[in-house]
Amino acid sequence: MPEALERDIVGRTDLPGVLAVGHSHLVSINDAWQQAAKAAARPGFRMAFLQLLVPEYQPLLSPQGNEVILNPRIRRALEALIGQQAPASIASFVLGNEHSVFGLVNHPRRFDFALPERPDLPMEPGTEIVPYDMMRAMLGEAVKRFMVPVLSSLRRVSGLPVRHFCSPPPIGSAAHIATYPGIAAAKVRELGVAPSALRLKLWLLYVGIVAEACAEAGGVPFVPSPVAAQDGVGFLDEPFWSRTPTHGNQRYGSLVLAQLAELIKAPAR
Amino acid sequence: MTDHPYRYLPDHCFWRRSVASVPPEEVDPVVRAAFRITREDRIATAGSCFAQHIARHLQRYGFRFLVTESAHPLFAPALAERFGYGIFTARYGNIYTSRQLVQLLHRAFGLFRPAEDLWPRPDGRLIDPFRPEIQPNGFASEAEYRADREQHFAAVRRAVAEMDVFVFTLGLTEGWISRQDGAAFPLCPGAAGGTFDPNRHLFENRSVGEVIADTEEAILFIRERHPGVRIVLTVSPVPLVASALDRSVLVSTTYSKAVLRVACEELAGRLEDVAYFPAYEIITGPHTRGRYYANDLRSITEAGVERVMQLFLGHYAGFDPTAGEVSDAPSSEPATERWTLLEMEQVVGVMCEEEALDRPRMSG
Repeated sequence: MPEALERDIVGRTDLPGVLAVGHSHLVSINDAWQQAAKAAARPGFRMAFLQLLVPEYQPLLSPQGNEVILNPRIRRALEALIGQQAPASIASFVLGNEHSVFGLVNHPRRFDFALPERPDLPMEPGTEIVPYDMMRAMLGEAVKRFMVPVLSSLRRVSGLPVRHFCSPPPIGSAAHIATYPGIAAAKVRELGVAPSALRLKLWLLYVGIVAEACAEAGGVPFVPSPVAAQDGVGFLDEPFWSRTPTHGNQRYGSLVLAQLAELIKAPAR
Repeated sequence: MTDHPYRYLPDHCFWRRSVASVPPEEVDPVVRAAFRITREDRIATAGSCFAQHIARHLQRYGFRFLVTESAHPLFAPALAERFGYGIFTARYGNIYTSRQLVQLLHRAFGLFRPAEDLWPRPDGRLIDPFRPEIQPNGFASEAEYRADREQHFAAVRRAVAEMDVFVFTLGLTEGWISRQDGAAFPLCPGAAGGTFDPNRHLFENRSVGEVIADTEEAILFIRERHPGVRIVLTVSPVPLVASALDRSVLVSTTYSKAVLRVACEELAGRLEDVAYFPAYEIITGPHTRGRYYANDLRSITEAGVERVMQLFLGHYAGFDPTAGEVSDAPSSEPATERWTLLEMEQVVGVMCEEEALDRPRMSG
């Protein structure tokens, strides 16, 4: 079994198990789970993690005839973990940062758009205004071509109920992003951090698209990002920032674990 | 036999010599160009649906089709086309009548603001009365609509400032206007947005004098701001889809096309560097026996468009599209814009990997 796999599900075997599968946004959840262990304050369920952002799981999807399927190595890992740990459900944290491709830093041809449901979010003066419907179509295509087959595959391969957890909202502070740009440092220096309102609009648009993708993947329940982690405008509130441009921290992960605990009380489909 | 002027006329003046006895695919009614167009000239286009073909072929053959309102490079070409980008120089959609052309110029330069300038749909979407089909489902919000329209007007102003040649295809004389301020709608209110109200909307059928006056006003308006722009006028060979008059649509079509044709003749004869290009004759002449019309007897076949462009480019640019000189149109987007998304995909991907691989062991 690949090294990056969760070793085992720790805890009482009479508790329901959850297999959390995902990419970078899974990290804050794992951190929170570890912290809860140290504090002997784990919620009433067992948990295992399958981190997909490791080289052996790339690419995420593989073509098979006219379809795309989950990478066979991921499928085998899933099957092995399920066989060993017998989780009752899957918590998906897959993907989650596609919107950042379009709006973490300024595009050389700066753009903005109006989000109909949030007229309070301004359009940056002097930028090119692109049609909302085009943004939605473009982002929708970029998101769904991965999200739908991945979620569908998780359901099909696991045979378990799957819930998908939304990625956190953007960090409003451009200064924070500039301080912790990570690999994006050169792009941040070259182009500058995109306006916060644009980043929030892109995330909000993304959220709606992911919810649609969940429905198209056979009715995967979509779990929104915890409202308690958002500030008054909708950005990720400062206590929940990680030292990266786009991820939540352990405290954010704790809020998501609390969501998960509540949901486990009501069985997923 | 007595001498007379016809004895010395060239072949193209005679029906038998230039039309009846010539293979249909070789009939050439252009004869000579009024001026020359080079590959360096920035060519702007506007007009009815037939004008769309002209833009497409200019790009295909590597001429400088002027686009001042291009889609953002975020968007794939097919999506951009669905939203009216790249079809004409700016995103104005079809301009069917001479009155619409003058009106667009006046609006873009702040000289006219129609009273009826927004059509809300029951679902909350908004339709631009003057570009009712520019977006498949209208605009999502008033903020977007207003911002987009200002952007559009700026693109029209840039087109006037930057064009070297303006190709305008006149399509219709029939149209609907506002009783309140005379604003001309490209489509009848209610057809693709808005609500038809006989107390607010009035049918008109432009006369030849009116078409001449409109078109001349538009030409002079452009040249006041950009002297030296050369103008090519064409008449769309596409018949009316419907006539609002209680008579045969065929009769209404011949009226419209006749008026437009006469207007072009007048203007080309009177104004310097204004040419009439006989696309209409190339498509509709008896020599074609209707072969350039599709099965609906309205749409022009690709062969017809090819023939028009072959003669246009041959006479005006000395270029033969049939000689295999097809070249890809130069992209208007700098390479940096096209590469940014790819680069950002990689950056975000690695950024996420850093976050994940920072914790190599995930444990329960």
